[in-house]
Amino acid sequence: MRLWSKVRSWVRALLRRSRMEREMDAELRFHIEVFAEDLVRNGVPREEALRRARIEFGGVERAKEECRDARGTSFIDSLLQDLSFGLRMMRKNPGFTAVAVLTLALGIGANTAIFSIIEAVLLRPLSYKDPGKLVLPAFVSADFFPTMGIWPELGRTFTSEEELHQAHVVVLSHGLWLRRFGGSPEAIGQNLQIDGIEWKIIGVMPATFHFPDKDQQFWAPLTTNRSWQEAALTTKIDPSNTRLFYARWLVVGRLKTGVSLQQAQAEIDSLFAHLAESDPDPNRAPVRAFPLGLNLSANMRLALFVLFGAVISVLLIACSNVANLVLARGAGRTHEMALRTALGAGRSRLTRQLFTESALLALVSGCLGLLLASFCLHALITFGPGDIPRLDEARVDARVLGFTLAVSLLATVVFGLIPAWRISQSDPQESLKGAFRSASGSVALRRMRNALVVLEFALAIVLLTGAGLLVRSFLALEEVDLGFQPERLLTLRVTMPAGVSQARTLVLHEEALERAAALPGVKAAGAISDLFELSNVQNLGLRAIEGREPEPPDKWTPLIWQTVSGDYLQAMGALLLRGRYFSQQDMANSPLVALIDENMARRYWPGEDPVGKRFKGQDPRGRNDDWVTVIGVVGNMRRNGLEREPVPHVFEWYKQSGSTPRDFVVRTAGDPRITAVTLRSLIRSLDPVAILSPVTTMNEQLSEQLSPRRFQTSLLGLFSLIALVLATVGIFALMHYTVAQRTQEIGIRMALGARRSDIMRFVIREGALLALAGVSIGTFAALALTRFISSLLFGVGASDPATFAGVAALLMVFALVGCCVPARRAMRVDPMVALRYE
Amino acid sequence: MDKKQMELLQGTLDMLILKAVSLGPLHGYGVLLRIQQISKDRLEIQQGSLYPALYRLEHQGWIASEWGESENKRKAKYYRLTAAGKRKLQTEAEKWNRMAELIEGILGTTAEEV
Repeated sequence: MRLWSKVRSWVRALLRRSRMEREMDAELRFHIEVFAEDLVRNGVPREEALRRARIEFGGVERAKEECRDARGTSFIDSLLQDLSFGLRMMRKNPGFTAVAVLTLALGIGANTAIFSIIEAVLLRPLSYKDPGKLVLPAFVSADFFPTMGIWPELGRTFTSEEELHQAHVVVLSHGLWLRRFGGSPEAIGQNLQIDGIEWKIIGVMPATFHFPDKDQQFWAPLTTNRSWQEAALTTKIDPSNTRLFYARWLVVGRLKTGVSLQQAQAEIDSLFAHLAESDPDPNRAPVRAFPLGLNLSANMRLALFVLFGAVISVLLIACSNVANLVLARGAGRTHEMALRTALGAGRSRLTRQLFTESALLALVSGCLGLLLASFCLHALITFGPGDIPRLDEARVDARVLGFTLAVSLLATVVFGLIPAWRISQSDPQESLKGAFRSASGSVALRRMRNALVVLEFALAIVLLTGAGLLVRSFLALEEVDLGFQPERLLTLRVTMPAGVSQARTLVLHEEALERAAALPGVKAAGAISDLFELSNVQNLGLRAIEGREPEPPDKWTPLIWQTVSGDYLQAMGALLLRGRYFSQQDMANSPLVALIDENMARRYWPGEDPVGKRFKGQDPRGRNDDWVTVIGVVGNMRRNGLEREPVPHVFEWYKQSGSTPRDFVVRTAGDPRITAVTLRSLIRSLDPVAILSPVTTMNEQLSEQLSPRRFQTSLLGLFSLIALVLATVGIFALMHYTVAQRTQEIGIRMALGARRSDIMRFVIREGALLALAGVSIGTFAALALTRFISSLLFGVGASDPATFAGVAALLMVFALVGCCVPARRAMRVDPMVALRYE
Repeated sequence: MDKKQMELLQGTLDMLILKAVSLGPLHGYGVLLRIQQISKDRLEIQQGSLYPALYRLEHQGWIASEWGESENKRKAKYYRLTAAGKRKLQTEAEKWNRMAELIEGILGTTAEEV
C-alpha cells in the first residue's frame, strides 16, 4: 500500500510536474494570504500584514525546494533543471560551446575510428584458437586443420588416407560456398572443376577462417600439388638438389601449452643435427620457427601502435583544452555560484549542476564524435591501402562504442569536477565580495591552466616530430635510387593453369615476347620470374666458386636467383657496368652463362673483374656440375623492397635455367596506357588458356608498395595537424582569458606609464614562455621516444636535428600567432575603463 | 513572540500533524492553527517547515489531499487522515507514551531507589 502510494506520487509528480508546481504555489500563497487576513483582523495594517506574514513564513523558495525533496522527485526535477540550465548555458556561450564540443568530438571521433581499425586488425582474434601459439600452405596436409584448431562448419576435412592416395578432394571457403552454391548444404559431395581437374567437395570452412590470406577460396591435400609431387620425386633421385623446394612449404605447428618458441626451436635444431649426421647435405638450410601472429609485419604492428599513441595524445590534448575552457569559465562563474549558494543552493547541488553541464557537453561531443568516427572509418577503409589484413572488417561496433563512451565519461570527470572542486573550496562570502577575482586568489588555478597548456605543447611536439620524421622518410623513399627507370614501363603477369605442359608454356612465352617487342611504340620487352622480391630473402650460397673453397652454409647471406628472358634488363633500364647482356646465341646446350649485379660482384669478387669468372649453381635439369660463366655486371636494382638495401642478384637465362619467367616488363616510347590494351589482347589471342593479370604501370606498382607507409604517414600527419591546431587554440584561449582577467592590472600599468607596445610584449612573453616550456619538455620526450620508431624510418635519423628544430620552430610560430590576438586586445585596453572594470 | 513558547521536539511535528488532521480535514494553515489552539499557543512551529512535512506524509500515504473551498470561499488544499495514517498515529502515540513514561521514570529516580 505504502509503496504503491509512493510510486503513484512519483508517477504523478513526473507526469504532472508543472501542475504540481502550480498547486504548490497556490497552496503556499493561500497560506500567506489567509495568515495576513488574520493579522488584519487583529488590527495590523494591510501592507504591514502581508510583509509580516511573509517574514514569519520564512523562505518560500526554500520551503518549495524542501517540499519537492519530500515528494521524492527532486532528483529527476533537479536533473531536468540542470539539463535545461546546461542547454541554456550552451546556447548562451556559443563560442565556448563550439570550441569545447568540436575539440572533444575531434578527439573522440579520431580515437574511435583508429581504435576500430586497431580492434579489427590487431585485437580481434584471428579466429584461430590462441594464435600466438602457432608456428607458420592452399595445399595443406591432413593434420593442418586440427593444428589450426578449426573445424569445418559443414562436412569434414581430409583424412591422412586421402592424403596418401592423392585424392582430389577440396574444402571450400565460406565465401566460395556462398557464391557458387548459394550456401546450400547440397554442395557436399558435388564436383568442382579447378584448373581442368574435377575435385570432390567434402567440407566448408567457417566465414571467419582465412588462411594463409583472406582471399583463400579452397584447400586441397598437399600431395595433389604438382610441385610437391615433382619435388618429392626429385628428392628421391637427387638429394643434393634442394633448391626447388627450399622455401616452398611452410610448416604449421601448434606448441604444447607451456612450451616456448625457443624450446621448440631448440628441438627443431637437434632434430636437424641428427638428420645432418645420418644424411649429410651441405645445402640444407636451417629451419626457423616463428609465431603466426607475427605474420602481420612487425613494422605494421609498430605503426599501428604509434597511431594509437597518437590518438591518445590528441585526445589528451583535446581534454586538457576543454578542461582549460571549463576552468576559465568556472572561475568566471564564481560570482554566480556564490550567489546561488547564498540563495540556498547546497554545495552538492552545485557540484551536480556543474557535473551535469560537463556530462551534457561530453555527451553532445560523444554523439558528434561517433558520427565523425563512422565517417572517418568509412573514409579510411575506402582510401586506405588494400593490403592491411582485415582492414575492411573494421566497424564502429559495440566494444568501440563502449570505449568511446568511457573516453567521454573520463573526459567529463576530468574537466567537470576540477572546477566544481575549486568552487566548493572557495568561500561564497569572499567570492561575493570579489576576492576570488584578484590575482592572488587563483594562483593554484592559474598554475593548473598553465600546466595544461604546457602539456598540450609537449604532446604536440612529440606527435609533430614523429610525423615529421615519417614524412621525411616518405620523401626520401620517393627520391630513392631505384637502379631502373620506372617511367613508361608496363608490367603484366602471365601464368598457365596447372597441367599445361612446359613446352606449351615456353611457346607462348617466346611468341608473346617477340610480338610484344614488335608492337608500335614498344622499345623493349622481357620477363623475369618475379617482378619484385618483397618477402624475406633466403640465405643462399654458391655451391662452388672456381679456384676457391666452397662456402659453408653458416657463411651464407641473402641471395636472389632470378630467371630472365627477352630484353628484361634493357627494358628495365638497368645499367650495364661490364660485359654484355644475354643474347639469342645463349642456347640450352651452349655453355651456362649468368649476369650478376654490383652487390654480387662485391660479395664474391671484391676488387676483381667478375666477367669471365666461373661458379656452380644448381640446375634442376641435371647440369649441376657445369660451370656458370659471368658474362656481365649490372647496377643494383631495388627489387626486394624500396626500403631495403638491395640484395646480391644472379640473373639466369630462361633457356638454360629450366623455368619460364612469368612477369613481363614492356618499355614504351609514348603513353604506356595505349600499349597496355594492345598488349593484353595480343597475349590473350596467342593462347586462350593463359591467365593474365591486369596490365599496370611500374609506377603504380611502386605506389602500391608505398601505400601502407603513405597510409601511416598521412594518418599521423593528420593527427599532428589536429594536435597543432588544438594546441594553438589552447594557448589562444588561455591568453584570451588571462587578458580578460587582468584587464584591471593592465589598466593600472598603463595608467602608470606603460606603453601599448610594452603591454603587447608582456602578454606575448607570457604566452611564449609557456610554449617554450612545452616545446622543451616535448623535445626531450620526443628524443627519448623517436628511437622506438627507428625501424619505421628511412634515410633519416631518429634524432634528426633538422626535423626537431623545424617542428619546434613551427610550434613556436603557431604559439605566437595564438598569443597575438589576445595581445592586441590587451593593447587596446582603455585604462579608464579598465580601472572601473568590475 | 511569547517567551513561554516551546520549540518543537525533533520528530514530533509529523505526529502532531497526524493528530490535527485526525480530528477532521484541514488545509495547511488550518493545521497550524489547530496545533496552536490545542497547545494553547505554547508550541512554536516554523511555518516554512509545515509544508515539507505535509508533503512527506502525503508521499508516504498517511494523509491524502484534495482541493476544496475554504470558510471564506477560497480554493484551498485539504488534508485528511488515511486508514494507514490512522494506524501510524496509533503506533506513534503508543511509542511516545512509552518513551515519556520511561523518561519520566528515569528522571523521577531518587538516590535511595538506585
